[in-house]
Parts: sequence; C-alpha cells; structure tokens
Amino acid sequence: MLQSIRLASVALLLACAPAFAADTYNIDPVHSSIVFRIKHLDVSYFYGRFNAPTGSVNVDADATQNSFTATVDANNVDTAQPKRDAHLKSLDFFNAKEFPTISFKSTGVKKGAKDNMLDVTGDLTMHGVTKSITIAMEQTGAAKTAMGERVGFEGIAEIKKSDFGIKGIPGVGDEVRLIIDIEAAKK
Amino acid sequence: MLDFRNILLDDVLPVLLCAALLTVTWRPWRRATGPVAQWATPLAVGLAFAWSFHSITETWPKWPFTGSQNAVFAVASATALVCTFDGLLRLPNWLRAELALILSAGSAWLVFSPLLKGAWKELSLEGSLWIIAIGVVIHIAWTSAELLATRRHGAWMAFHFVLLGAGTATALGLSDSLQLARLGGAITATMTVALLLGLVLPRFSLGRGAGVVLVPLTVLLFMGYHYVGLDPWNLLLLLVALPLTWMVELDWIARRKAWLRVLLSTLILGAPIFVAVARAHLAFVKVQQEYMQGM
Repeated sequence: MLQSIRLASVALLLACAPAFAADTYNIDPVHSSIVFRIKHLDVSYFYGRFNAPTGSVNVDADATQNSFTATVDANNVDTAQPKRDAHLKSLDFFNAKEFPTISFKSTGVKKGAKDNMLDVTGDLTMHGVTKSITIAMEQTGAAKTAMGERVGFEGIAEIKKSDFGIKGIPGVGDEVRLIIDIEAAKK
Repeated sequence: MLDFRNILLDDVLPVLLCAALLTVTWRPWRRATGPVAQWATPLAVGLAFAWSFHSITETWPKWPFTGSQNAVFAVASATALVCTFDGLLRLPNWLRAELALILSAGSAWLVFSPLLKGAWKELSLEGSLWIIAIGVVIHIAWTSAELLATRRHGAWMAFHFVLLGAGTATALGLSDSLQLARLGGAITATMTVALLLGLVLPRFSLGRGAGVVLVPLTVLLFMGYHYVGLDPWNLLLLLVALPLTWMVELDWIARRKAWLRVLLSTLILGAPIFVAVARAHLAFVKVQQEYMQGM
C-alpha cells in the first residue's frame, strides 16, 4: 500500500512538472543593446551597435537549463556616421544584402565564475558562417516592474571577424568584443 | 587605409607577373601579320588577377562560396580559361558563342543568385529578371569588345579598359566598397601592361582575350549597384561607356589624323566615366558635410 502511495506521489509530481518549467521572456528591442568594439589602426578602440535585437530567453529555476535565442538585422548597424554604416553594410563587412540576419542560439549553459554568472555556449551565425562561441553572461536583474515581469542579462564575448569570413579593410582589427545587454519581458 | 605593402601585393607584383608572361609573346607580335599569341593576354591577366584577388581578400575561395565577392574569382578564372583555350586552339565561332553565352549567364547567376535568399527574397520575379538582364549585358559587352578588339590593333582597346577600369574602381571606392574598388583596380593595373605593349607593338591585339577584362569589370559594376551603394545613374553612365569604344569606328572620327582621332575618342569615351566619378565624389562629400553639420 505504502509503495503504491509513493508511486502515485512520484507520478503526480511528474505530471505537475510543466508547472515548474522555464518561463519564456521576449527580448525587448527598445531596451536591449548589442554593442561591438573593434580596434582602429591598431591605435584605439571604436564602438558601434546593432539596434533592435529580437529573440527570447527561457529562464529556468536551474540556471543551467536557461536558453537564449537572439536575432538582429545586419542593416541595423549604427555607428553614428551614415557613410560608415553604409560601408559596414556593404560586402566589405557584413554584406547585409546577401546575409541580412545575424543570429545566436544557445546550445548549452554552464555555471560561471560567480553565482550570477553563466557561460552560455551557442551557435552564432553571421555573414553566412556559423561558429560556436561562448558568452560570459551575468544575470543583471529580475523584477516585477510597471512594464511587467522582466529579466536582464549582460554578456561579453570575444570573436574574430575573419572566423566568419569578414575581411574588412586594412586598418580595422580582427578581434571584436561583443557586449550584449538584454532586457526581456515575460510572455 | 592602404599602405605600400597592400599596393605592392595587390597591384605591383601581379602587374610584373602579367608583364613577364606577356613579354613571352613579344617576338610573335612583332613579326606576325595576322592574329597570333592571343592566348597570352587572358592567361597573363587571369593569373595576375588571381594573385591580386588572393592578396585583397586574403583567401582562396572554396565551394560553395560564402560571399559574392568570392564568386568574382570563379567568374574571372573561368573567363580567363575559356579565352586562353580559345586563343590557343582557335575555337570555331559557334562554340565560342555558346561558351560566351553559358559563361555570361553562369556569371550572372553565380554572383547575384545569393540575393534571391537575401534582399530579393520577397522579389524573386524582379530578382530573376535582374539576373537575366545582367547575363545579357555581360554577353553583349564581351562579344562586342572582342569583335572590336579583333578589328582594332595596338593600344586602343587596352586604353579603353584602363579608362573604364579606373573609373569603375574609383566610383566603387566612393560608393562604400574598398574591396570591390581594389578588385577593379587590380584588373586596371594589368591592362596598363597591355596598353604599353600596344603602344610599342602596333600589331598587338587583345582580340579573343577581351572577355577576361570585360566580364569581371561588368560583374563588379553590377555588384556595386546591388551589393553596395553605387548610384543607379552612375551604373548607367559606366555601362554607357562600354559600347562607346565603337566611336573610334565612326567615319567622321576614323578619317581624322591619328592624334585627333585619339583625342576625340577619349573625350567621348571619358565623358560618361568622368561624370560618374564626379557624381560619386560629390555624393560622398555631401554625406560627409551633412553629417558634420548635424553634429
């Protein structure tokens, strides 16, 4: 009898499992930023951004079960200089007409160096090339706000543009630091 | 910014290779009365361009190509190969026409079909029509240049290509693509060798090798419009310059003295190229000024 009760309890718990499943949050394109940093003439660092990223974050009680997807239009590159933006969209760099979408999809999440840190590994597709990268992601906050339930993350990743077949022009460095700040609203 | 190393590797060394290969044909061109050694120009230009391409993009393209600029390498190589064999084996006209047609259509498809998955995704009919139109323009440019090159010996055709190539490269550079500009510049640089050879050897002819310059140049022009910011009017002006080489055949020009003939042809040919470059320059300056005023 006791055995039956135990089995029934386990079955009930399993049946209730979806109730504890991850919550899905949609990336708020207005309050999220993707910033990149690249060296110019081997002298100074230059910053630019991609406006209006979209995607979603699945937040689980067990943070290693979190998942992230993000997409940004290569045409949304913004360096506060229209001629340079046009050059970045051209086939010297992002070739936005041929490869309009830059996307990231996480494939695995591990605990990071600190409690609120995660190492998010995933596939970054850019310029028609997909490469696995790891983003050191920090959960910057989670709260019920006037704009609904929201979570925030900040990630930093280092990539090489040549790994994605982006040649660029002489004087522009190869190593790129991505700084990703996500604010996502619960569905 | 381009430095001395870039210019040396992109242009100077490939031009020297081109010159070394073309000097092989020095003697035959000096002695011959008919068309000889027409295999040399496409071979020399093709190899020099391949070197320049590798130096500019720092890669050898792998199939399937990632990025349309890599398809330019395939287009230039295939054209050089066909023109070299044509010059070597004197292929029959029907086969040359077929090959030119296949290569023109293939070039347009290879370079511009990726847009059907990208910017033309919602405009597949318009995109397909563009690809057909580009193929037709490449074919016409190729065959007409080849026809004129077999009639006009000496430096004229190479001079035309230098003028057109320099204009194209400059306009592309001012229209947001240094890479396409450098590729155009590399083709132009190889033609300076043919120009010098044509000046020294009056019997020298690009003849069946004209396609090796015209096809990549036309492809770069259309890429400038579709992939970067080349203004449609500038594209049109540079395309108009393609058939203007034929002006030299007009009776009222052909009858003039040699120096006047060259001057008139250059003015007519150079006018649309000059206007296109000037327009691209003014647009470039205007954007810079607007930005500075907005600061």
